[in-house]
Amino acid sequence: MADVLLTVRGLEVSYLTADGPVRAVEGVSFDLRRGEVLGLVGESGSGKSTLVRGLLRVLEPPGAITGGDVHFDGIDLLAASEDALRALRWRRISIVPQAALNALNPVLTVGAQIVETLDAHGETSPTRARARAAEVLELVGIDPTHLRSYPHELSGGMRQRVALGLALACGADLVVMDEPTTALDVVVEHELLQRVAALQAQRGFAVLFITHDLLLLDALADRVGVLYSGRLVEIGPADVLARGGRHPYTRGLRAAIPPALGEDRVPVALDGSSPNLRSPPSGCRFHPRCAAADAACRVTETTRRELGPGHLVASHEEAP
Amino acid sequence: MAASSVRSAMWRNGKARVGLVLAGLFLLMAVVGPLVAGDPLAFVGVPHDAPSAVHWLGTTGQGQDVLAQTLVGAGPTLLVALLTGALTVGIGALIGGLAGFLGGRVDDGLSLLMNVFLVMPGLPLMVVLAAWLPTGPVTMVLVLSLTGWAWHARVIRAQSLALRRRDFVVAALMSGERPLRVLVVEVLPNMASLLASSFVGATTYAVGAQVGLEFLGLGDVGAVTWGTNLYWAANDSALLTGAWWTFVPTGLSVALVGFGLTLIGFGLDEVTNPRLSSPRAPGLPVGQPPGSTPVVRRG
Amino acid sequence: MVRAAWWLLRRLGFYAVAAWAALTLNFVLPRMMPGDPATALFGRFKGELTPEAMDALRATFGLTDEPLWRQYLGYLGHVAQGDLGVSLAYFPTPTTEVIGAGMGWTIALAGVAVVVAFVLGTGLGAMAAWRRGGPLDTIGPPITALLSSFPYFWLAMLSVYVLAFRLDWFPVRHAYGLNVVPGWSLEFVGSVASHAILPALTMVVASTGGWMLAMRNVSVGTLGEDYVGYALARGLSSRRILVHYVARNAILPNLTGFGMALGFVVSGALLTEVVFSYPGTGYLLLQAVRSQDYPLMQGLFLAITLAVLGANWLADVATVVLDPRTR
Repeated sequence: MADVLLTVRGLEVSYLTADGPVRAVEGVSFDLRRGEVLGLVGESGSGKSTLVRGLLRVLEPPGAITGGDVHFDGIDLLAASEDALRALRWRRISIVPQAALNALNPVLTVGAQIVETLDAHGETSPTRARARAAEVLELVGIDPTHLRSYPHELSGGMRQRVALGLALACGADLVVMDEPTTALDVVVEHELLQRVAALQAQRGFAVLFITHDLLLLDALADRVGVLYSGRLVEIGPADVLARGGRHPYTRGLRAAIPPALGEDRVPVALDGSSPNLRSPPSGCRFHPRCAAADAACRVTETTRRELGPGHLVASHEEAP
Repeated sequence: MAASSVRSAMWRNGKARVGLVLAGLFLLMAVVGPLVAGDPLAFVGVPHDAPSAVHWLGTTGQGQDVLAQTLVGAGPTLLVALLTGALTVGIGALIGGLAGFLGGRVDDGLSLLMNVFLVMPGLPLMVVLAAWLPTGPVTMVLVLSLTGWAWHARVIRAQSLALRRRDFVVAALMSGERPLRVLVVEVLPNMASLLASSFVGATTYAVGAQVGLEFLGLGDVGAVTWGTNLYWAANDSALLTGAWWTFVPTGLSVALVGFGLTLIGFGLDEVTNPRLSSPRAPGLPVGQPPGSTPVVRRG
Repeated sequence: MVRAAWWLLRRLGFYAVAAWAALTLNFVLPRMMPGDPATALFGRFKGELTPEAMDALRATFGLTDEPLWRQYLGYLGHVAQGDLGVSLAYFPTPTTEVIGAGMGWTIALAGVAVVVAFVLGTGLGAMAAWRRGGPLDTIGPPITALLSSFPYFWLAMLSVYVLAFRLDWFPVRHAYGLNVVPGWSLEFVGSVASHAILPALTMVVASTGGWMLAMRNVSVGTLGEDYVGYALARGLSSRRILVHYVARNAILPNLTGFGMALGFVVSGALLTEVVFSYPGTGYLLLQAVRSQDYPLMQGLFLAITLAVLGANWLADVATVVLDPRTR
């Protein structure tokens, strides 16, 4: 398909520790079309951050890609040279980090960090680079006088906006957002998400949005994938998943969301936590926490089934 | 970690083993040396005689046997260094432990004291202290400990600050035990590995500082130690007559003892804090600048 | 800005306390000795001093019949006026004059050596961490450990023997040739430079490894910071990341460590001067010890301490300049 920007097939990402490899992501496959917003949801330890950092090849040691294929616009990312990757980064693929305070260099001004990024991607004129840096800040609603500010001098919301502006500075086709609102309070989070949605509609870049907040994706994403213990257990159109989803885990996540005002529902917390990746459960990895689990779930692995257009699920439950 | 498992882990650690063997050899030399060497102060030949079959390491500017002086010098030098190591850590544990353990005003005051001692240049301080006190090994131990304790106190303070909040310490204090007793009985034993590595570090420092002070003539120049050997070598113009053998054997001994102790310290840190050695798993690049995540396909 | 100024002022206050401690030590030590402190201080020179000179010295050190606190105030007053008494070995030259002459040589020699070693060591340390497990990282630490096991002054003796005595590449001793007239002549400057190379070199060789090891360890931690990974993801060049991200951040804790290590390095430098008969404060210290010139010894202790405290404060200023979070 010509409009597919990113293809991921059977991706496996592991941490190579001295005590042997720990597989954090296994057998993950999905496509991302140009201009599409794909949300990836999962609780902490589900491997969602490892997954995107791995496929972009920015995961630090001891992380390593141990299997699968990743193609970005026809380029094999897993075979690309260091130079080819550097040329691709930020011009084509950029990232909005979880905590911009840690991701920005504490001893350089915001302006210097935008300018050096532009400089690394072909902007040779310092004057033009400074003017463009000011535009980057204005794009995300920050006064250009803050070019001279240091990261620690900005508020949390402003820092995340700087990071958003920086991610758009070189006109990337794919912007990966790694829980960009986790550190923010609800009001500031809402403001940032509106900005993301508006800029995406205006500029048409594709977004891979990682979060632990399923509700957040209902409004933002075109499609949603659900990760559990390093595996993609369900992926489908956002409106389908908004109605509940098929996988018991997806439904569990949905049930745990506190009800909106006027909604007649009692939230049911999902018991337990992500399994230890060093010794994952046998069979379906979700079975120890699944209400519908039976003896077969403990033994056999799940297979992926297509339930509707673009809606895949990996569970033992029969289709209704 | 239990003491016996630390001992066996130390022996398995390459650095520690080399260090233990080196330090052991010199300790042996300190014990056996005086028995096999003749009188190190006796005039046995012409001054500045080069190494020969009679005098394996030559003679000093006073016509004394260099080998005998090197062998005999090991004992007092190492004894002073070990005693200094023990006293330094003792002062450091007491002051650092009290500061971290009691906190508040006591901590403020003791921390200021530590920082003042840390910022003072060691040698001039040692010189003014040593100059007033009668020369001899006791003075040497006192001066070296008084000038060297602050760093260890600082490290021990940080550790006891952390231990203070632990359950067993809180429980002991709640049950009405005297704080000083809790510090000595409960807190300090729980930083045995830190105290051990402080002791090794302080001993290493004491070897070098002692030799430096004696080289200046602030030791008992009539005694035979590694420091006074170098003092006399310089005094007798070894450098201007080319008598390298008067200072090379002693200097190498000092360096090898120091190197051995440093290795023991490295090994101790690695054994008690395994994160420091962090063996890399196969497949990950080594010696490469940070870059893209490696692709390591199985099979 | 206000916060930084306040912090620098507080540091200055701390150095004042340290300086006061050094002063007080000088005051207390002779009085703790058995017998008359004046005898302890200048007893060896009794026959050579005129009664007037003796009285002047007594006044300087507060050795009067007044109560102790008056003595102390008198002593502090004299020090505040820059009166540290006269040197007994260089009688009747004031101690400050003797120290001043020596201090110039020491600051020039040890100052240059310390700065060169620090710059070289931190650079090598950052590079070792950058290619962790690479050749530099593998051979650096053991070589450093071995080199730092040798006493500075012994390395100096060895280099004098090999490079100056055997190979005759450098002068053996002193700060300039004996037949050269001091002054701003090319001959004199050249002579000073050629005499300084070997002592400076031994100090650099002996101390570079320590800075390298410290910088390497901090840099390894810095490499794990989010901002390094994010810089890589932004496609910044390796050079840019190494210099502006890793080294620039990792040097900050090392500036703090600089102060604590400085006292140790200066001690080594003083002993190195002795080996080269270099006319700095270390050589003077030896003279003072040998001739039991206590006024000079005390003055040197004070002067060297003040110099080290001053260097520490400069490191604090550098921290404020380099770390915007302190401003």
